[in-house]
Amino acid sequence: MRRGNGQNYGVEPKYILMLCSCLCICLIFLSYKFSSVFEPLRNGINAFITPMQRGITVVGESVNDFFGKFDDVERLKAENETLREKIAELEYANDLLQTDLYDLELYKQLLELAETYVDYPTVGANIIAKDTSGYYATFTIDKGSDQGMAVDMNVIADNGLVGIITEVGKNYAIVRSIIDDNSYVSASILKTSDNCIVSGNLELLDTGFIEVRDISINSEVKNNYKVYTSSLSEKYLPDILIGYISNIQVEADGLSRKGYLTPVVDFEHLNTVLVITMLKESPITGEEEAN
Amino acid sequence: MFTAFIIAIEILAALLLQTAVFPYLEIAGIAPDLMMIVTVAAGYQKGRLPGMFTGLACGLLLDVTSSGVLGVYALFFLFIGYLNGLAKEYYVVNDTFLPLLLLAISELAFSALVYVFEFLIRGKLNVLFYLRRIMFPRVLYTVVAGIVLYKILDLIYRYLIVRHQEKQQAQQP
Repeated sequence: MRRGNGQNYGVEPKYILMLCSCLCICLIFLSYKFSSVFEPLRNGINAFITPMQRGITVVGESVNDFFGKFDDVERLKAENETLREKIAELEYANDLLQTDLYDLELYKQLLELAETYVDYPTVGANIIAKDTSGYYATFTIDKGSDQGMAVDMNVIADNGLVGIITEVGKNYAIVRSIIDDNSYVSASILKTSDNCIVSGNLELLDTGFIEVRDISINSEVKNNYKVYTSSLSEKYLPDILIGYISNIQVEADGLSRKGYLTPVVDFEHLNTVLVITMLKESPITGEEEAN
Repeated sequence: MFTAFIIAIEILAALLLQTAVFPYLEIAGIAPDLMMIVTVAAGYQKGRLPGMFTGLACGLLLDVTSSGVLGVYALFFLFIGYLNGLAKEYYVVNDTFLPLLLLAISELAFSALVYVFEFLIRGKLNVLFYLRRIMFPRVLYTVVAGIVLYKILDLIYRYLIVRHQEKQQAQQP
């Protein structure tokens, strides 16, 4: 049954629809071509929304903490016991290592070894919004270009790689985590020095794994080997732990191996992250600086 | 004017809830799409033009707060608002089942389009997985949230109509 709605807009809505669609399509092309033009718009709107998201997140976390306390008690008791045992073990191991360390220092001085492990400068940030569509694994943090953030900066937590900044505004930044389906990280396996690609895969979402591909067929990689970011990567800084490899198989074409990777970071319960405020220097930027 | 103001507040509340609160309430990584509920409600309750503008505003906000090209969500939500506005002209507004059906169809169309443009295009052909794991749960969760939220939005729009009528009566001598 058609219901007359008696309202008169003056212009037929379908013409306005056409006009708006044309505007949207123009916007898509313009923002694709000249993304920097729209930065003030993004910044303006986000400057308004980000503080509210931050406020809500703080409230949400405290509510979550309050209810979390009750079921935490039992878990903590059990954890405490195992941790005590662990401490005893570690204390013993530590003693042994201390003596080794002394020797090591001595040898280092002798060999004048350069420091192999680089301590990257980091800044902490809170996660204030997450994508909830189920398709993406991206989130927003509460620091932006005003606090020194820049696109392509690496993000870590729990000593493992979380992801990379893909967009920066004045007071926010959007991070794409390594479990996102669009994420590809050039990595290497510690013990065998094999290069590989760590990619997010939405289809493995429920298993807690992500994918490792392009491992050499001749590789002697075994389960639980550590996977680090590779120095070959264009955007990721070297020697950041990503996770542990498992379930290694030969690829269907028989030319390479693939496997699953368990990330060290617990993405489900991530609230704060560390942003490495250092960008990977690519040869091109180095040249530009020289000029 | 007052209606536009109310809708603006609805959109803002939906965005904040969706991005900052629902990550705590998500089930298996999926949370309801509140922007869709607001757009569908505005279209179905107020007609094509308000539906369109609500959709446009929701879409633009989503575009601006997520990374990537601007205007894609805007274009899609524009059509969702318009089509739900069309539904208003063909069906009785007081129905409680129909808006939920419209919501489910809109959400399914939205998820399916995201799948096609973001995953299928990259050769991820496992449609059934995405249907089972992402699209259906999302539609279901959105509809469940819609049952509650649509009722609230419905009450707001009813109040607006009553307010409008009272104003008109007051103007008449």
